[in-house]
Amino acid sequence: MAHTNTCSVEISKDLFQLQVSFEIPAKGVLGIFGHSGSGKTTLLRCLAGLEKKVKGQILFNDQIWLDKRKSISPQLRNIGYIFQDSRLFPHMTVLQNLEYGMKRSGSLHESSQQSLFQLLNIGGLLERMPDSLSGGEKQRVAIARALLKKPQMLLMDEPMASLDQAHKNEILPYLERLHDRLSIPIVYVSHSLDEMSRLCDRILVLKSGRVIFNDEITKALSSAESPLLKTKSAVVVLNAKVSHVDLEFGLSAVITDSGTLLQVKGTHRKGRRLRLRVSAADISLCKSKPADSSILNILPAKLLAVVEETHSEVLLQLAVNDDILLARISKKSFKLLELKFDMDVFVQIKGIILQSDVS
Amino acid sequence: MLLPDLAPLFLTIKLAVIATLILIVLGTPIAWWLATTRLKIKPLVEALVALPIVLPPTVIGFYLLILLSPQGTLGSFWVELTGQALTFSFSGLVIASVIYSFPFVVQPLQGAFETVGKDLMEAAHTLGAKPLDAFFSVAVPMAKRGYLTATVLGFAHTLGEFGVVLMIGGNIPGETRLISIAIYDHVESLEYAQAHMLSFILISFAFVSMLMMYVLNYKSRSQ
Repeated sequence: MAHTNTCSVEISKDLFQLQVSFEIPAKGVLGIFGHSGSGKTTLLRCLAGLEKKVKGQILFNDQIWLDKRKSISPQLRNIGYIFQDSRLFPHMTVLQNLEYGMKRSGSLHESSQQSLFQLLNIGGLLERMPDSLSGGEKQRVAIARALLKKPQMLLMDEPMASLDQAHKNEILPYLERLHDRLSIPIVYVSHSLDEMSRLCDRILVLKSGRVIFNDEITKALSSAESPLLKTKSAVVVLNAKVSHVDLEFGLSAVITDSGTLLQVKGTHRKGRRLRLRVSAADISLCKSKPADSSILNILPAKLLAVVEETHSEVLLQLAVNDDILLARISKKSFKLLELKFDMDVFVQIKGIILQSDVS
Repeated sequence: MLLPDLAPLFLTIKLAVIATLILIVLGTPIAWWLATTRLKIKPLVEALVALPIVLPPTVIGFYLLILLSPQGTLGSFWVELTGQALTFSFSGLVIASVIYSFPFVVQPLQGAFETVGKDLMEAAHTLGAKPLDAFFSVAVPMAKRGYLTATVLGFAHTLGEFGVVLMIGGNIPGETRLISIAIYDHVESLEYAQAHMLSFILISFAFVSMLMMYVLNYKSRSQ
């Protein structure tokens, strides 16, 4: 059954005011993006019921979490909340921490427990005390603790912000796997575009407590109106399906949802859905089709717009069929090639970052 | 050598045990409130709780005498309820001890609850724990060192009380004749041997309980 899940909240804190209204997707990852102080965490805390002085209305799965008359307390909202700082109970073992939420929600299922331990690789940590865990391990335990109570919604507040790069790389694959396995909505707060492009299906951008953008990930990363575009690490996401496997060279041919054919590294099961990420820095342009290039993916494209211009570089928006790509090239090449709007060009894609199944 | 009558010792221990139990039960919600409230009257309550630390016991004893006497507010109510006076009775001593030792229990508990903080309580709520459940499953076990300190201090402080007892309890054997009063009596009657013996018992007791507290504290810290 389809539910309308909506969140429309207003809260004033000191000099800051948050006023947002959006739809909570029934499943998939909704990213809340914004700089520090934009109200991301406050918004998440409103969803969880941790903010006391909030006004507005939150409807989720036919339940009223918040309206004029009442605010359901956090323990009755059946959510899972992952805090930036894990917040494991220091006086309990890892196992006791994990059981804390399970006992209180009455969801003691042996089978799902084992597979989750495996998924997050925490089976060996159960007897340890939280103080003896690394940052990445703590966060994995915190994620398991939140999921074991079988929440209806998972709220993640910059789960990787307190980790160094090595630990981030350690935990990201687990989050990607979660994204594929869970059938509940995840609201993921972050200020890292890289995390967003890897995990989210939809992105909501906050600025000074207001929603300034809210769209699907592919649009959020490629459309000219998106505030996410003008960043150093511009990247686009394409959803694709494996159409052919080339065992001889260890490649797979994929076709994107808009019909673009690409070759990617690795042999994947035919029919498998993949999320591809293409960084603006990995695309170069030619006016005519290069005949003898080492690059496999050379596609005809149309130049749509110059998104951003700096002293030495331009960020271009290009269309390949209906797929939008971004290319960052030097200003000098831009002038030398005499590139113009609506011009037909060829894009060479040097690297495609692959990701597992898209739900 | 004349052995001192040990009844005052046992009466003192009985008083200290009962008073400490009441102190922990009463002190817990007040300490939690003080640790978590953002109301502006917090310093006022803190100052009131801390008063017994700085006041001479005779001042506390004097006002308690007025309050607990059969003509006083609490005293007359007690007489109506039980038919007995609170002054110069064991029940009166329990009430007096609770007031007198209050800061020694509330302050360590408050400090312990403050270090627990609201973050972990929030985590407990998001995991489905109701406020009282979260309090007993997270705040109390995390504040266990605070409870240890509060118990030992409350107990030891009640053991050593003299001024307040003298004002409202007097010296009734088996009812209000506590060890400190007994020692005072022995000294008055120049029975130094008995005074020595009771004093030595009190010193040993105080030392052992302090030692226990620090050892347990040390253990739980190094865990």
